[in-house]
Parts: sequence; C-alpha cells; structure tokens
Amino acid sequence: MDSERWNKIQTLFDAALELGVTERTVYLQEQCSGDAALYEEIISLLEADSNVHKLLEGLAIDVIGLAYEQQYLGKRIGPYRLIEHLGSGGMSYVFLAERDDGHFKQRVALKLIKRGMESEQILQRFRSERQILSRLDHPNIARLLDGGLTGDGMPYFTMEYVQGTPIDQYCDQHRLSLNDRLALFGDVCRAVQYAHTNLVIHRDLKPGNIFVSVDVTVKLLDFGIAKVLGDGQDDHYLTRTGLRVMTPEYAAPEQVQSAPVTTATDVYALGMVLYELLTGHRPYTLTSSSPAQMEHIVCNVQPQQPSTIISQNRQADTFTDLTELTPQALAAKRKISLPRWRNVLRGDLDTICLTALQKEPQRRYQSAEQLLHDIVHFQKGLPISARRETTSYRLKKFIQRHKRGLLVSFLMMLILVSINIYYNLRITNERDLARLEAAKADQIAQFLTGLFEISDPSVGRGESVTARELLARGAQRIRVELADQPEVQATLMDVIGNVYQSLGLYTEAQPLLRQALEIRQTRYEERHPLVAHSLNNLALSLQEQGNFSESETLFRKALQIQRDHYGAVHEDIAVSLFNLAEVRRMQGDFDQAEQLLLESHEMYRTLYGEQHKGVAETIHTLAVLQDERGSYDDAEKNYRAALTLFQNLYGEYHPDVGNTYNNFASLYRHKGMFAQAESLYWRALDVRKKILDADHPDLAYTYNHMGRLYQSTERYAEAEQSFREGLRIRETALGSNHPATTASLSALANLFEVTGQFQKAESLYVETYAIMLEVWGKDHHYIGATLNNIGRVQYALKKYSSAERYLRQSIGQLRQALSEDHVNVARPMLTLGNLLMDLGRMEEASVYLQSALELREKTLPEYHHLTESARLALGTFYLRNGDYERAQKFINKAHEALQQQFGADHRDTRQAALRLAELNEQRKTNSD
Amino acid sequence: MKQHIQVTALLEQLMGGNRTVVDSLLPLVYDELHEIANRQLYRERPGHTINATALVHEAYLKLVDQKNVNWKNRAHFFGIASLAMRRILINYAQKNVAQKRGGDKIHLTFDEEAIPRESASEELIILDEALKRLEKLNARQAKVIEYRFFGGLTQDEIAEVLDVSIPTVRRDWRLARAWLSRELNYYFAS
Repeated sequence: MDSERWNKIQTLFDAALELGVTERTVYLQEQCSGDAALYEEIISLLEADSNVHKLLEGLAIDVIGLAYEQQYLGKRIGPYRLIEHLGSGGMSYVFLAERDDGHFKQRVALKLIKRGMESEQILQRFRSERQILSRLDHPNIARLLDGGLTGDGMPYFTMEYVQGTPIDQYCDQHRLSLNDRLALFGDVCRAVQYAHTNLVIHRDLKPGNIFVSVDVTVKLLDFGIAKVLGDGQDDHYLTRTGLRVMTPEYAAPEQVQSAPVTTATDVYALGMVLYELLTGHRPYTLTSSSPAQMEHIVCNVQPQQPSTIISQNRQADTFTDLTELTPQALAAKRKISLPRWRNVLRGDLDTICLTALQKEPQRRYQSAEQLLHDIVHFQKGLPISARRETTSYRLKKFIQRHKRGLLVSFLMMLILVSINIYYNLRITNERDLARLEAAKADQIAQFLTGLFEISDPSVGRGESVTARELLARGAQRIRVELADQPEVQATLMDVIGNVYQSLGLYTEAQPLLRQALEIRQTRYEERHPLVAHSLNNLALSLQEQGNFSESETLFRKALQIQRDHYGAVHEDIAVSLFNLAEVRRMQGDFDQAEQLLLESHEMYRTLYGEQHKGVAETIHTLAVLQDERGSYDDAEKNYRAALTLFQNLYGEYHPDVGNTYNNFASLYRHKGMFAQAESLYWRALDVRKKILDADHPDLAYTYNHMGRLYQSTERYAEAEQSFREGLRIRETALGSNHPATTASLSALANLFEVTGQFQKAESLYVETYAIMLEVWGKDHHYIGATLNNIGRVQYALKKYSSAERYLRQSIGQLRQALSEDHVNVARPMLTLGNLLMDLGRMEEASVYLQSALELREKTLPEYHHLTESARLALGTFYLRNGDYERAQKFINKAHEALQQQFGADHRDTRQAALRLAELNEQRKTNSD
Repeated sequence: MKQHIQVTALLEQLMGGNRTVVDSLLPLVYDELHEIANRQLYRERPGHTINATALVHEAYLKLVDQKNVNWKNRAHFFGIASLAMRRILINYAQKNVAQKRGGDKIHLTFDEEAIPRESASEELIILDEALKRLEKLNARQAKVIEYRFFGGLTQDEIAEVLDVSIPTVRRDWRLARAWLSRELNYYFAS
C-alpha cells in the first residue's frame, strides 16, 4: 500500500466519521465508485473504530497490572465474595461484591486499596473515622458499610452499591437542559452540606464520585474516604516525586499546596463540577503538566468565565473519547442554542461559578448551602449574594491595608461605591428598583473619578495627598455639588462617613452619617430599608464613641423598620440584633445582650445553616460576653465552638481565627490559667503574622493583651516590651490620636504603676486623658476609667486631696456613662474607700468599700476574683478598725477563694495571705 | 552525576532536530527504566501495579538535569522512554509466554504473581507485531500508538514530539487504533 492510498483512506475515514451511519454508506459509495476494495477497507475500519479492541483502551503497562484484579474475582474478602471488577483508580480497585454469610445476601461496592500505602495507618484512620462516617445517613450519600484488612493485609472498604452513571455523563447522555442540570447539582450541594454539618469533608469530589442512579437519584460516593487514605496530604513522598494520587484536575489550591483542607475545599470542587456541567469545559487544563506547573496553574490561573469559554471547541482529553466537541455540539447536549446559552450563563452563573472557584478559600462561598442558596435564587430570578460578597471582601481588605491613613487612591472610593450599590441592590430585593439604583453607578463613578484625580500622580503634582485631605475635599464637594441629586448625595455621604469611621475619625464621620440619614428620611418613605441602613451606620459610630443610649435608640429604630419591611426573619435583622446586643453588652446589661445574641444566632442558623460566618460570629461574641460576666465555663465552650466553625469556614489562617485565639487566650488569662493563655496568644500572633502586615493594628491588639498577661505573671520586662511594640504599631498605623493608641498608653502607664514607677505612671495617665477627651468626648466610660487611674496613682503618690477629687469624679462619670450600678463603678469606689481609710475617715470608707463589694457580688458570679479582692479590701478595713471577728471572716473567705482560683503564688493570693498573717499577729499582740 | 548531564545534552540535540542521537539516548533510558521497573516490581509485594507515567517520570527525574527541565524536553524524554518501555514490556511478555509454555526456565527478577496473564501477554505480542506492520504503512501513526500505548504520553506531548498539531495526533490515533483493532480482532477471531 503506498502512502497516497493511505492518505486517501485517512481522508475518507475522517469524513465518514463526521456523518451518520446511513449518510456514510451513501457518501462512501459515491467517493469510492469503481474501487470496491477501498470501500470495503474503509467500511471495515469504521467497524473496527466502533469496536475497539480492549487492549487499546488502556495502556500496555496496565496489561501487567490486570492480572492482579483478575485473580481476585470469585475470591472472598472477609464475608464478601468478589463478583465483578467495576473499575480502578490511582490507588484502588473497585469490585462488585456480595455478602453471603448464610443469613442474607447483600450487594456492595468493595474498594480494595492498592499496595504501597501503609495499611496499618489507613486502618487506624478508618477506625477513628468510621463512627462519623457511618452516621452519614442521607438519601444522596452512598453509605459506608464496613471495612477491614484482607488476609494478606490490604485495607478494604465496602459501600452501598450504586448502579448508575457519573453525573456529567448522565447529563450529556440525557441531553439535560441547564435547569435540569442545576436541579441535580442542587441535590449534590444538599448532600455535601449535610455531610459538612456532620463534620465530614469529602476532599475528592469530582464527577466520577457523583453518580446518578438508575432511579435518577444523585448519589455521592466515597465520602470521607480521602481522609482515611491520607488524601496525599501527609504523603509528602508522593508530592515530591510527582506521583500524587489525588485527582489533580479537581484539586483546590490548598490541596496542591498541602495546606489544611476545609469545607471550602469541597465548595471549590463543587464549583469545578458545576462549571463542567454548565459549560462542558474544565476551567483550565492540566494535561502534560509537571507537578510544579500543575500547582502553578491550580493556584494562579484564573478560570475563564463560563459564558466565554463555551465559544471554544472542547478538546477531548482522553484517547478513548476522540470526538472533538464544537460549541454547537455542546449546546445541543443542553438542548439550547449557542447565543441563548451564552446569555443564560453571563452574569449570575458566571459569578456563582467563579465565586466557588476563588483561589483563596475564604473568598469562596462559605458553605455548600450558600452556593445552593445562590443557585436557587438564580433559578427564581432573585439577586444572588455572591455579587455583594466578593466586593465587600475586597473593600474590607482594602480598608485593612489603608487603615494607617496614608494614601487613598480614587480606586478605593470606586470600590466603596460599588459596594454600596450592590448593598442597595440586595436590600431593595426587587430587580426593577435595583436597576434604578445601579443606573446611578455611572454618575457616582464619574463624580469620584473627578474628585480624586489629584491622587493620580500624573494629574497632581506628584505630592501625596493624605486620606484625611482627600476625604475632607470629597465631603465638601458632595455637600455642594450634589445638592440637586439627594439620593446620590446620601449614598456618597454614607460611603465617606464609613471611611472616616474605619479610620477612627468619629467626629468627622458623624455629621456625614447624620446628614445621609436625614436626606434618606425625606427622600424615601419613613420605613425604607435604606433609612434603616443609615440608622445602623450612625448608631455604630455613636457606639464606637461611647454614646450608648443614643446608639441603642437608633439600633432599635432600624430593627423596627427592618421587621416591618422584611417580616420576622432576614439577614439584615440578624445583623441588627447582633449590633443591639453589642451595645447592650457595653452598657453592662449582660442578660439582655445574651438574649439578643442568641436570637441573632438562631436567625443565622435558620437562614444559612450551621456553617456560616454569622453563626460563628454570634457564638464568638457570646463567649466574649460570658467571659466578661465571669461565666468562664460557658465562655470556654463557646470559644471552642466558634474556633472550630471559623476554622471550618476559612481554614487556619484568617483574621477571625486569629481574633478568636486572642480572645480565647484572654479568657484563660482572666481565669488565671496563664500558661494556656500564653500559648494561645502565641497562636493568635502566629496566625496574624502570617496573614497581616507586620504593622497591622490587629497585631498590636495581641501584643497589648500579652503585655497584660506578662504583667499579671510579674514578667515586667517582657510586659513593657509587648506594650511598647503594640504602641509602636498603633502609632505608625493609626496615629497618636487614635482610640486604640490611647489603650496602649494606658496599659503602659498601668505597668509603670504596678512596678512602683508612680511618677512616670501619673504623667502618662494624664497625657492619655487629654488625648482621650479629644477622641471620645467627655461622656465615654473610658474617661471615667482614666480618672480612676489618675486618682489611684496620685493616691500612691500620697497626693490625697487631688486623688480624692479624681476618684469622686470617676464614680460620677461612670454612673452617668454606664449605669448607676454598673460593675465598673466598683473600681473607683474601692480605691476611694482605701484612700479614705488611710486618711482615717472610717465611716465614709466603710460606705464605699461595702458598696463596692455589694455591687460586685450582685453583678459577678460567685467567687469571682474581683469580688474577692473587694472582700479582702473590706476585711482589711475591719482589721484596721480592730474588728477582728469580721476581719477574720472576710479575709479568710477571700484568701480561700483566691487560692482556689489562682493558686498560692498569685499576687492577689499573697496579698490575702499577708493580711491574714497581719491579722493573726495583731490578735496575738492584743491577747498578750 | 555525569549521566544526567549526558542525557540532558543529548536531549537538547534531539530537540534541535538531530534524530541520530536517539541511538545513544535509548540504551541509557532503557537501562534506567528497566532498573526502576524491576526494583518496583521486586520491592513491592505482589499485586502492586506500576503506573507508566510515574515510572517514566521517575526516570526523568533521575536522568535529566533538573535545572534544565521544561515541558518540551520532558515530552521528548517521554518519547524516548516510550521506545524503551515498549522493549521492556514486550520482553516481559515474551518471557512470560515462554515460561507458561514450558519453555526455558528463565530466572525472573520479579515476583511470580506480578507476571502478566498468559493471554494478555500474547495479546501484547500480537499487538507489537501488528504495530511493526503499521510502521510500514504509516510510520507517524505507529509512533502515536507507541507513545501513547507504551509510554503514556498525552496528546500535547505527542504533538510536541512529532511536531504536528493536536487534532492531527487525534486523527492519527483514531485511524491507527481502528487499523490495529481490526488486526487484533482478526487474529483472535480466527
């Protein structure tokens, strides 16, 4: 046969493949007229093409491997007899097996793990996971039944046998429409969510593990098996040599980087599956890549939008399926025309897919349920959440980076605005209204571009403009130039007000927020969600400034509007309940705060299920509250729960995880468990350092807390170092007039005081006081606390009359700012009581000391160390007064409680012991 | 190691279009692959299957200067490896068939149970012979089969090695596969 003839065969063979069976014959007869041999040749090749020899379906080397699978057929493993070889993966063979132990017959899928993996470890992991896995009881999840080792030591598992087809093949074979595909996919999401709430992560979701059974039920296979097998996570050997066993096509970035796997990993895989079901393409191809390239692609290459990728031909990536799929052919598999297909995908479905496929786990949907929520919303024609989530995430990041008050580019403002527009989009909840709002976007964008052009060095004179200047200029122009467009004006005032707020510039923020509110109240109906939105923003600002009562009033108003508008349950209502709880907590009404938090918590759960950041945040805040009121056991339980939830949602390295570690550590510090506290603070620092700049204010927060810990354990040098590091960061990042900076100053001053450097302490307290007045105004309870500090240190310096004045002022201020019987009022009372006692004004002293103890007994749980130190103070008073009976009773009780809680070595316990010794001494002297 | 510098240099020449270096490269790659395959089959207990891609990749890591790797020279290396793999596998198959037929006792360096089934070995040998016939009809198509079936190369790797487009690879594969299937079906039917 010459090459010319072969070429001819090739041409006709290719052409015939494009045709249907009947057209083929006609075509070939025409083309081969007079050459019967050629005709026969091609017909027989076409026949062979549809009847490929099984040897050529695999690889030569597999022929050697085949023997192994074959040899098992008919044999028994445990109580199972292997009937049929169903398939093989990288690490396992799967057989259809039958259990036949005389009692009953049961067909199962038996997965036999290939050699080369440590059987013992697998079995151990299996045993520890088995309980959890067998609890997964869901119609869309294939049940795990059993597992064990074969006679020659290979691990195996048995699972419910599912007769069906992988979901992608099923959809194509049945030419399912996009809607039908979404419906099936919805079932997949529900099953995954169910597993997640039962704390099982799949780790290897892919179409090959998602079957549609013969009765058209979605069945997820191999749930949790990847973990038992070690899923390549700790198989570093495999990673290094590139022999990784997991399915790289569907692996998430954190998987190829061997970072912790969370529920977000499954969300990513769901995104891959959804992408493929909708488009027929994978977002990127990994064929012929080296492990390093593969990692690079998975971690860096942004997937194309579904609506654009469908214009490409799909390259068959296997050697068995060779038909090249044109866009038209793929569209036909979805019973849709190409232009219509593109239109349906563009917008929401693009966003949904790409949100699920975000490279950073915390930017994806926070749960399978949330992904499902958007799918359902899309199907119903409602707005989806992802469009807001992604933007608001960017905003947060951006503000975090620019908190230090350096440069704000106009880009930031554009982002801010788009955020707000999306926010509006969502809360209006009606698409028409949303469009109207969106139409303002251009206007706003134009305005801001002009406004901030100066910050573009090519336009300005190359000088840097500070954020403050920019904002001041912006606010001014908004007031003047947008007077004729009040809605736009209000939106922008709101935006800039919030930026001021995030920079800690409350006095600048409030007038803008107030004006935005007023405009909205006149422009929209009284009970419009945007009015509630403005009320909330203003209330937050007031709360930050310590104006709790007005803040509370506004939060309540906003809540009422939202309830009228949305009914009982809505995300915005959950947010408002949370805000209200916070302000009540700050006002010291722990009971109501707790009740509101629980209400908010339940609402989030109803709306989004267990795995949601709102659920985690409410638990976290509940723990903070319980810590504050001294319910340490509850607080500990809730910190743990919050931590687990945040870790599931975001993985280990996330600001919320760092924050939870930090506050959890504080709980231990309050309980006097200093070693535990320290290690958790280090954990918090570790998390924060990994994800934040070295000068990020969050780090200062942890440094400050660690300083207090060191101070409590009398490691004063380390304490000073920590406080100073925190102070340095805050001065750099926030400036010296920021509220947080004053907290660092106070802490340092307190350290000076505790170490007996009263002079230094006094001047620093006074300095802090001046700044605080400027930042907070005179009504914030921090002012009262600082007055107490100054009074106390002056008392130590024996400046009695000045000290008395400060302490009395402090008591009055705190009663005003917080409430008549707020627990914090006890502090200056105690100091004043001691002072008066030293001055010999015993009657007055006893009033303050008794009130302080009563207040603490009333507000704090039994045996709280603050209550005990008040008891000790009163006991000391009786001792000085010669009332040994009562002194004995009070000091003893305090000593016991403190020793119980802190141990004998603690400063407070030692203080109590000292008093006790003193008492015994005096009694002895007196009786002698 | 000298060896990996030598292999890397030869690979460079191959990519530059000098096909004659195949003769120098092949034995080096063959020996390495043979050693790895033997070691794996011997070391692992019965039933361990080796994966062609993994095997070749290990040889690649060992034989090619890792500072100089890129997907193109990787593809060319894999191409050479396919030739080596073909020889190794056919060799195994022949020994196996010979042994089962009571031929010469050949000492095998791997465990009994890992030996391919007789019929599979026979099929492999038949295919190898058919492939030799295909080489005469269309050398490039035979290469595509060799690269894929023995070496486990992907479509784009084959396209790179043969310097043709991916659709061409796919067309070649399909016709060659049909042709070989017909040969095999014919052989085993009669």
